[in-house]
Amino acid sequence: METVKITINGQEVAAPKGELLIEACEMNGVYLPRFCHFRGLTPQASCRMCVVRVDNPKIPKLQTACTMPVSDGMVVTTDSQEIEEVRSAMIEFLLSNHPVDCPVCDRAGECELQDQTYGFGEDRTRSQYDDKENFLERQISPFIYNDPQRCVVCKRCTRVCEEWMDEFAITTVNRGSQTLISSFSGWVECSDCGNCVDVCPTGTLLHVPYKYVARPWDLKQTPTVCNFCSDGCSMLAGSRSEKLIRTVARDGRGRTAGGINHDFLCSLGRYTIDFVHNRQRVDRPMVRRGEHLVPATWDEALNFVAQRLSEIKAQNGGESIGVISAGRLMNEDQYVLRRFAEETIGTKNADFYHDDDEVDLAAFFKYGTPAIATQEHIQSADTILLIGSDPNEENPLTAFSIRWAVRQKAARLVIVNSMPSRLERQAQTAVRVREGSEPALIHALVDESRINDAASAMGVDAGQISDIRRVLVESAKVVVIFGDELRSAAVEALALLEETLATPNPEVAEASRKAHIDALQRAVKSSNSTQKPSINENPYTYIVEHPTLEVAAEPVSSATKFSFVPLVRYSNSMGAWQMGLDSAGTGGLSAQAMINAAGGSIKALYIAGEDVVSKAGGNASIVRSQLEKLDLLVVQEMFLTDTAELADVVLPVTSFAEAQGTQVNNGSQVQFVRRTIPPVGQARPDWMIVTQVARLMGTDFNFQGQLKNVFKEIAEKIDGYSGLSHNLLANEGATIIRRALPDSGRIDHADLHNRLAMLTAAIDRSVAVDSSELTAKAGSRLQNRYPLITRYSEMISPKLAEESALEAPAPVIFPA
Amino acid sequence: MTKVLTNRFDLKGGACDIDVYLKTGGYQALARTFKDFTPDQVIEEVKKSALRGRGGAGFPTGMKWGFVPKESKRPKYVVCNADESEPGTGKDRDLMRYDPHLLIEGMIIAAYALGARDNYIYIRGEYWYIKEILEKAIAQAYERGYLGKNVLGSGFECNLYVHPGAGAYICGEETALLESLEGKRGHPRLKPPFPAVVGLYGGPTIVNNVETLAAVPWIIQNGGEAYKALGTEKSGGTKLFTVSGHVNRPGNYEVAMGYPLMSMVNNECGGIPGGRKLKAIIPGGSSVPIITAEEAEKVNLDYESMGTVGSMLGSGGVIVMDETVDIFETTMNVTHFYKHESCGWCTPCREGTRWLFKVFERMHRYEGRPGDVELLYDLADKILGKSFCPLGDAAAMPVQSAIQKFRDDFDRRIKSTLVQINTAAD
Ligand SMILES: Cc1cc2nc3c(=O)[nH]c(=O)nc-3n(C[C@H](O)[C@H](O)[C@H](O)COP(=O)(O)O)c2cc1C
Ligand code: SF4
Ligand code: SF4
Ligand code: SF4
Ligand code: SF4
Ligand code: FES
Repeated sequence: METVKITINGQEVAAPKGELLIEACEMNGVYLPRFCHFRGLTPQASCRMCVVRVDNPKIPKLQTACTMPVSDGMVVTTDSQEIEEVRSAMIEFLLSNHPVDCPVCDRAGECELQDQTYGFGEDRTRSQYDDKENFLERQISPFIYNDPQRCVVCKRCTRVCEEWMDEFAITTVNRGSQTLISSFSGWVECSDCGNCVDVCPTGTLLHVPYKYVARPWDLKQTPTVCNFCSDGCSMLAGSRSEKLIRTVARDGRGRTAGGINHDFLCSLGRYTIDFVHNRQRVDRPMVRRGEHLVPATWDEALNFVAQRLSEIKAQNGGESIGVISAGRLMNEDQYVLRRFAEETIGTKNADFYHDDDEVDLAAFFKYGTPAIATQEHIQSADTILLIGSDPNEENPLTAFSIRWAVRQKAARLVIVNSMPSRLERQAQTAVRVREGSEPALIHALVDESRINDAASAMGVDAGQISDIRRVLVESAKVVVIFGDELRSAAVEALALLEETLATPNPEVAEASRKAHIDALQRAVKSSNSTQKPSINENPYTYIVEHPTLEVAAEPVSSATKFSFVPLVRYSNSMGAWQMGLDSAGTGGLSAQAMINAAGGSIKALYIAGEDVVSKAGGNASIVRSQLEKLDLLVVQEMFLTDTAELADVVLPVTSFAEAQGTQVNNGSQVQFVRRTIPPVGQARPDWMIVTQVARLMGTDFNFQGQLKNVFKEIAEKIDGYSGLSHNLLANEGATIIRRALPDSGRIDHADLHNRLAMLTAAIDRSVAVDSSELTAKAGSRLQNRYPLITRYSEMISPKLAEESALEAPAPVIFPA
Repeated sequence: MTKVLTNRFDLKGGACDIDVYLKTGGYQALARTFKDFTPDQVIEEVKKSALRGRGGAGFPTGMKWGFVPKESKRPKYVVCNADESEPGTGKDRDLMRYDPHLLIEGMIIAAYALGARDNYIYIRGEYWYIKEILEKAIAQAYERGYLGKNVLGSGFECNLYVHPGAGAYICGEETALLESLEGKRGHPRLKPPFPAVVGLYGGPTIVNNVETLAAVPWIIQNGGEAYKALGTEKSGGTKLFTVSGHVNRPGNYEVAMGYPLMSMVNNECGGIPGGRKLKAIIPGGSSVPIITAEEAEKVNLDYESMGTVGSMLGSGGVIVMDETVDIFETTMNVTHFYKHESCGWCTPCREGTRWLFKVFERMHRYEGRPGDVELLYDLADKILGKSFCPLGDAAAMPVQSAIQKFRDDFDRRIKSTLVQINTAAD
């Protein structure tokens, strides 16, 4: 990184070239007070707290450090009487109409206004209480409270909403001292990420579920990892009196869990957590007595399970028993379940539950482990190719990173999808193709001669596909993000991109990128075109107008040109795969096949954490009747789900908040999940229950009841885990699991091309391309995609119900 | 005296018709521009004229035009600031309603000098009737080939649009104006970059006041030197002043730069009614520091002379106040205006103007508390120079100057009994 020398208060220090002065000061241990400055958001310079004197180059007025890029030889003073006076004057101004009702303010204790007042203000004010102008507190969304009188109008919230989320849901209304944060209708319609609340430095925006619930200093804050999608955000879980109270990306003091998501969380990670204390939690083991599941002791339940499993095994052999896990269970659970299946039961039929809407991992990993991109890679990608899926709805952090790359790094975003997505607004090229025809794109990319055929299969112009191909060839680093739309040969063929789309030489990439930036800088609609360009139409303004802000963080590099993000469905699909709990690895029946075989070759199922009945959606009744044919159904669950209700034994398990362990995200990064609260009721962790059953059946896994021993064994046995330990992961945070790259020697090119051709040929060309406009809530696809656990969240389930009720396109159309 | 701007005012709007305008010498400067001037030569001529911006800041116009980069990836624009919202100012109104083609001609010349194809007049919403006048005039100019694809056969394309504001003073500030023109909330932008480099839709943009642009045709016709010679060394040419308040003949007057202030009050405006004595003058619109009668005797109407008494020429809105006026009341009125017009972006102006006004309100009820005058002064001090844009300064300067110069009017508002009660309570 290029650095410059600057002098802060007489001390010469180094700072990254082009970095903002306020950040450069902080890097060198000089904290400047601020409200409006927030790393990565467009500079605002409105609070006037960060003023400094710049002596070289000599500038007569005090300057705001949050807008000044450092330059070589710059000399600044950040501490002097005149500066102190300005800071305390600004604090006095901000408090002049502030209610200062800290005793009843949820932010008190982690309020930046409090902290800055203590740090930089006076212990008195000249404003009189009876002079204050009141604004009423109100709720502005199902999740957000707004107390406008506490606002310092720093607009972090609105910038986050616009720049991170691309929602434009909140804005400032009115003018001058009447300025309020609001939406035009007064009610905020958005994706409910709640990031605006997290970044708010005051008690103006508050989380509804956290209102009047706890004081920050009473909270125990545990850094842990979200469990609701495969992005794997870190979060600070706040608990009090053994209750999980809130999860935040950053607390009011700016502390984060230090994860891959920095300050970001989505609505699931933030507002779904109340399921943990839902009164419907199964809090003790249940055993079937005739029609009913009745409470039992752990001993009774475990003995019953062990005995029945042993009997069935003796009668029909181990292969008559199947083990199914949920993709959200942690590595340790998956690993122990696999050993349980292999050693205790003696069955190959072990699989983590996934159906057609899971990424085809078997194909993806067929020849080795392709280079996998992390969020950091996405954020600094040169070009992003998004095929299928809708990260904006299913993997919100990935969507955030994509927007970040486009906005801050001018990345080129190419989308090939069969349905509308809000990310299309960021795309340089967005191609809508026939549903089910996405694999043809890969065919065209790896075999130029097939472009015409592939394009016609996709229902698009061949020119569009060759353009995409050209952009990919001319890019230095490409991140390919794909969902379940790609299958079998199309996923396998991703391994060919590196050689077929290699950049001829670095100059080509360089020139192409220059041309792209140049086009962005020219990209202003002529002002006399009837429609004026709106703020939404040029998402690139940040880098184009503020080129200096492209600084600091060195781009992360990858050895290969192409890297991939498989948008797997569950928080630990990758981990389950790596632990080998997948039928493709065990060579047994898949979860679906086991259910189909129930009553036939399968006599008993041991299901850990998946509601296979509800997952079946429209086929629920078929799955139900299949399960009813079993001799034994054991379910480890938190709730009496549709599946658990059919079980002979229900064993209560801990939620992510009560359990400890590791999980792997879609960037193949393993992260340590900490226990936040003690188990609810008599719940036990999945892995522990399984070892206990195993012991009763005569196999001792030798973990001595210690989770870390499970991981120790994982580190020894599982490829890519060697050298890792819970301790290390707890300290290091997200750690990439590295495995051998694909061995191209193993690829049978002719066969692969043949199979690709068959895929393309099989595409139903009578399907119409969906070119519909994006509606406010493109919820349809999501109805059965949200984690089922959301049903037990009183906070989030009404929102989801409302969304899935939206059948006809909602009336609000976003500008194209 | 040579008139530059008001030659057609006597026609009382007759010059809105392009034929009348042409008959009285109109569009000849434009013709001459294409014949005799390269774009750079136009800028040179304007530099020579010592013309300074008439919108308030008085920035040398030629220099500003010189900042526009020659090569630009995005289109360039000329934008006329016709937002005229400064209290006490109504000169642009008359310029546009009596002589719209003069402004149009000035804009076309500016557009030619800078290489701008599409250009805007941003007019305050309350001037809706003037917007109609301008649009008619623009339509005529298109018809006669002064605007459009090929202006006067020169190959230069020039378009002109009128865009109304919606009633915000801050949208007169050039960068807030550009935001508003782009369809966004009227907040000022961070400078640098200045509009001349990154302006409308990110393209290099010149924002000039109506009067500034209206002076350009004369400069082209008669030369920069001649224009400069009309005024003083540093303040070239003539200027249009709006005189209001206690004078017998309020109105708009064009005088040469450097003309004595009191001569204008006494001669052009016919002096103060009823033979009353002068108390104070706000010489350049409500934003500038007030001056006393004694100071008014000493100053001339140019940028430098106004500086000697600590005030500014501003927008040229001269507000004359006789001895019956309570400066506390006028200052409160001005403060109310700024509180109402603060855009709310930055802390000192948003919170400071509200607080200032709160103190004014209680003093207005004769319930001022001891120390309130000092409080007002100090609050103004905490706004001055610390705000994001000059509106904060504009709110602070009148308060400070009024207290400095007319302290008695303020002290009267302090409730003396309260002093005793308060001290007793302490
Ligand atoms: C708060 C504020 C209001 C302003 N209002 C006006 C206005 O109404 N008309 C105007 O011409 N300039 C106004 N200005 C000045 C403009 O920002 C800008 O300096 C001017 O349009 C430049 O033109 P000039 O160089 O021809 O004076 C205002 C400035 C500020 C800070
Ligand atoms: S926002 Fe901060 S200063 Fe204001 S009432 Fe809440 S805790 Fe107190
Ligand atoms: S609501 Fe909070 S984040 Fe938003 S402007 Fe007000 S203080 Fe800032
Ligand atoms: S993006 Fe995924 S991991 Fe992150 S908070 Fe949302 S659901 Fe959790
Ligand atoms: S000084 Fe600040 S609040 Fe006032 S108008 Fe300018 S930017 Fe807005
Ligand atoms: S942090 Fe710089 S002005 Fe707010």
